[in-house]
Amino acid sequence: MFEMAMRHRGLHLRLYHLLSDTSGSSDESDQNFSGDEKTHPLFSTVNQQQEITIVYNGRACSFDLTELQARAIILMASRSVRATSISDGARCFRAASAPLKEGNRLYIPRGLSIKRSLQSFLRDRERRAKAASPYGL
Amino acid sequence: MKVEVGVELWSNDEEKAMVAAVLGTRAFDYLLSCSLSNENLLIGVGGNENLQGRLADLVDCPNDWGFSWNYAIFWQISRSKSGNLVLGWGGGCCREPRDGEEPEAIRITNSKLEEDGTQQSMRKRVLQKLHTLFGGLDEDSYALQLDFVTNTEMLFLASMYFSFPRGEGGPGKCFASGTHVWLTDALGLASDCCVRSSLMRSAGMQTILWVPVDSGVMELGSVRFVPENSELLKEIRHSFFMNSSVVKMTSKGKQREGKTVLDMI
Repeated sequence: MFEMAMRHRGLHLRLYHLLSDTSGSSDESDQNFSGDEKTHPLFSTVNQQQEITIVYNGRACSFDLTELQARAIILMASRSVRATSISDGARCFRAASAPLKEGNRLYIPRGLSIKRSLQSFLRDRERRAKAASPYGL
Repeated sequence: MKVEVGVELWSNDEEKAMVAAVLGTRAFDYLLSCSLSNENLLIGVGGNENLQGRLADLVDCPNDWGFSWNYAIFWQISRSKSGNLVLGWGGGCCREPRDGEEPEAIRITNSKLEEDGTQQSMRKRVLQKLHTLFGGLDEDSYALQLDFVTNTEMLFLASMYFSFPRGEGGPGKCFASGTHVWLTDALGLASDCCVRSSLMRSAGMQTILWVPVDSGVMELGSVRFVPENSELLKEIRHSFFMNSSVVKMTSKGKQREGKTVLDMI
């Protein structure tokens, strides 16, 4: 079970993403990150750093992550499991692309690293375009 | 089954020709060979506080020698599916050349390529294809929404999908030798410094530098001629010797040491 416990303003929130559940509800949780309805995630701050403990395969790790980063990890982990049970000729992911910890180093799928870079790239690009345009368009 | 899927992904000849035309044959062949083994590359994170900030400084802020690099890529030590150490995309930053930065003749030649309508539409399709091939999701798709892809951007964005085992390509050779590689003739047609040479030439890169740093290799490119400079090298290395923050295992009763910022995620 892949769960994330997050301390948010003194409240302990637990979001469960059941990797063994590959039914339709996984898709919904990917889209709106509601996870289990009973947990009522209160994500009002997107970029604030929060201390997060990730429990994966019985091992625990703590990090400071923003909500966005937390979502990305859950999303990637859920997709890696969903994809191994779906065989799609055009896009066939392989197993084991969830976060992996080895010694003191955490490993994440390259896709996450690329995704983050693309976000910075597109942001910088937009900022430069706006700065260059005399009309602020 | 692995081989069949790989063949299926690249089976359209027209598409293959298009990707080869845009990236250069050598880059295309390289991607073909490494895409299967490095499909599930796991990038090591942690130990790179404010990496993006440092990359941006290298590209946006003039150094003591009065210039800034046109692009900076951090190749991070990662693990392939088989457990081998491989360099993979850890982060990067790029900018367009400023007026007068490039030799005029080079600028003119490269502009022609950039402004060609067919080339532009191919670039977007190639980036879209690479995005999908390397596990990108439809909702994260960006290539087709770009209005224009510059030569620098093409080099930068395409590089994201490359990975280098020890000894392969510019980054891999630097990683294997443990010493820096400083090239000032990257524009020369005879120069074949890296599998991505064709992209580097189109982007007008004259000087390419690979420097081994903590947990990977830094790649820097400039459209200027920058002669090898040991002081500059020292400065670049120094900026990467900041204390690593490590992710520590926590369990009952164990203290968590230090602040951990996973800005690689």
